[in-house]
Amino acid sequence: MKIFKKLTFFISISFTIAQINYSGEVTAKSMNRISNNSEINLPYRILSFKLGYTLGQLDINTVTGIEYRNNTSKSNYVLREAYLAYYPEWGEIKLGKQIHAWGSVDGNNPTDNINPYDYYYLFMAGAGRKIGVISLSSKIYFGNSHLEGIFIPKYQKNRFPYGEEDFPLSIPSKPKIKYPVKNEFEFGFRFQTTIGDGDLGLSIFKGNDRAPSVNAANVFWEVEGGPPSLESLLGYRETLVRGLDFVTFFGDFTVRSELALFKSKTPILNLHIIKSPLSLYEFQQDISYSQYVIQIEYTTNSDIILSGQLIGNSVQNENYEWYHVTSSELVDFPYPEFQPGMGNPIAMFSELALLLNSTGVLMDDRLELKGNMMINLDEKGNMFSGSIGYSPWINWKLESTITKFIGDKDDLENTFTIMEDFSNITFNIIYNF
Amino acid sequence: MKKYLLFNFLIFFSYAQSGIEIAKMVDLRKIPKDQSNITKMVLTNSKGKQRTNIVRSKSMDGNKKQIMWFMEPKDDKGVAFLKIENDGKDDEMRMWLPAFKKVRRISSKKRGDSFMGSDLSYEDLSNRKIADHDYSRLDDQTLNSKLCYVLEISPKKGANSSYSKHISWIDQSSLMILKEQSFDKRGQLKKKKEFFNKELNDYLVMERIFVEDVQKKHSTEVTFAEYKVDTGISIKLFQEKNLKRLPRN
Repeated sequence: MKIFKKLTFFISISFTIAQINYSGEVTAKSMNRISNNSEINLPYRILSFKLGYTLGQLDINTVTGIEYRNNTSKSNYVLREAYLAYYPEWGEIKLGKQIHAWGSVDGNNPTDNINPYDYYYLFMAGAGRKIGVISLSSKIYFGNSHLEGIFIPKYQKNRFPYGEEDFPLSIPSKPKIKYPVKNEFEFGFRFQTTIGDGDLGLSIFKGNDRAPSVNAANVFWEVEGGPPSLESLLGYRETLVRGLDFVTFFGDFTVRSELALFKSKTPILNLHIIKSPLSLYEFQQDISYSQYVIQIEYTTNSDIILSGQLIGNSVQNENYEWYHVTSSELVDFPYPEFQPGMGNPIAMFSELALLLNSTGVLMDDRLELKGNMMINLDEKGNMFSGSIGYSPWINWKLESTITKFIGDKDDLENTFTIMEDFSNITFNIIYNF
Repeated sequence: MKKYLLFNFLIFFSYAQSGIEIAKMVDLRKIPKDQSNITKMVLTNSKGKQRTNIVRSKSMDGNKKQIMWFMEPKDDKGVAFLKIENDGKDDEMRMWLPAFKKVRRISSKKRGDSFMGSDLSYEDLSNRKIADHDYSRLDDQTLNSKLCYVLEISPKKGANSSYSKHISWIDQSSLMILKEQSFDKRGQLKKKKEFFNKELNDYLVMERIFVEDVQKKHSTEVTFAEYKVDTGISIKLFQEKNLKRLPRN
């Protein structure tokens, strides 16, 4: 009883001297196809709520949300972040479920691979499309530089929309992961310093792919002497990312850029050879690929922000091997198409793309106009988007966005062709508190 | 006779001061080591519609180091701004964007950009570097019963400025600026500014600024509440990490 009283007293005192901050956003959203005005039924965050408790050098922060589907009226609670932060004189230490951000370009950061992505929110900018990971992070400041270290004890993968008819890039059914990640521990370091009038960042991250890939296959022949049929068995590659990013200024232009070099390898599966079926073949993939973003931005005299991003990715070196698990005999099976398991999500759309954005505000920030364009420079395909936001009352915003994908009629496999039916018009009513 | 001579000497001495000397006197005026306040900006457009922005601000070295946390409007809550003015090189400006969970380095070269949609630009919020400007003294004038130095201040060739010149009225007794007109690159009047000061702990500090963009027919009234000086703000406050934490006071 005494302990309870002491605890109550301590909590009462701490709340008296501590500071509590909160903010949030309530959103009502509708999304319809341009083609036939039918509703696109995907979940969205109807509520997002940030709560912070500060006591001296200590913070407790949480970000929660409610995800909602209009068609089923079903909602589920999401704890997006919950972490303890301590701010000593030399820097900061954070422990808990967190969203991190690395890199210098806006939104499409190839060097930022700490958090997996939530593909339901792929077209959202910023931290909203990331999934929090349980991690310990620390940042040490010295002079004009800082060093950050992040340690993740528990692996977390991307969230993909499986079986979502309304999401064009959806995978029909959730694939069975035969080989879960064995070494879940991941870590990364980033050093940033100021050089001249700019900032330079160097980073390294070692982790596991956020998306699955083929690790092995059960192989059988439907016709003797014919081509083999492969039942793919999925797992996650181990990937090392070396990153470089910088921001600098040339006259009235700001240049931000990032380069990430990925070295990805299928893990050795350590199979029990005796128990393994004779039809089991292991796939070894060792691949080096890179992704880069060059961003140039300019603000006009009428405060219109113009920016362009050139986003590219390419494979530098790839080695594949199929071999029989028991005999270790190399076989000449077809290689599955390489899909990066980390990096910029735009890479799934194009190998070389140009993004152009413009944002302008009028009427004392009451009216916001945005225009975006994505041009696929690799093959045919474009995306156009225009948005108008109006704030009739303080803290309220009405927003409408029209997004149009144009693919290649002669190429049904083209991502933009697949996305054409996803061309949509959205309407949001947002209240901030 | 002695009094008459002394008066004439003071008049002569007063007139003998050049524009640059007055600018140096203003620069050497006694200022607090550090300052903190809650800054309220009321933006009024040509139709009379108003919008309010509120930030908590802490600064030192005469605002050469400044950190601001945005509190209103609510969709900007949590955004924070850090400015460090450097001698001999460009200022360093960074913004904490909670929606991106990122500290974003922003350009200090486009000094004419509006600050939070107000009629104040980043240049208006920065200290005017004496070495980057030419100062010409115009005829003294009386403003609100106060005798004022009137200076024409022009950025030197190569200086990073969105203005062609400023005309400033400076109270001769307090060396506080009372009024200023700023002209765009074409030489057209762009902004009219009025400054209202108050005494606080032996210092004169600004309590209100009224800025009118005469070309846009738009105005901003800035008021400073909970003004505190010499509270012992540490230089370590002006670090990226502190952008992420709204201070208690």
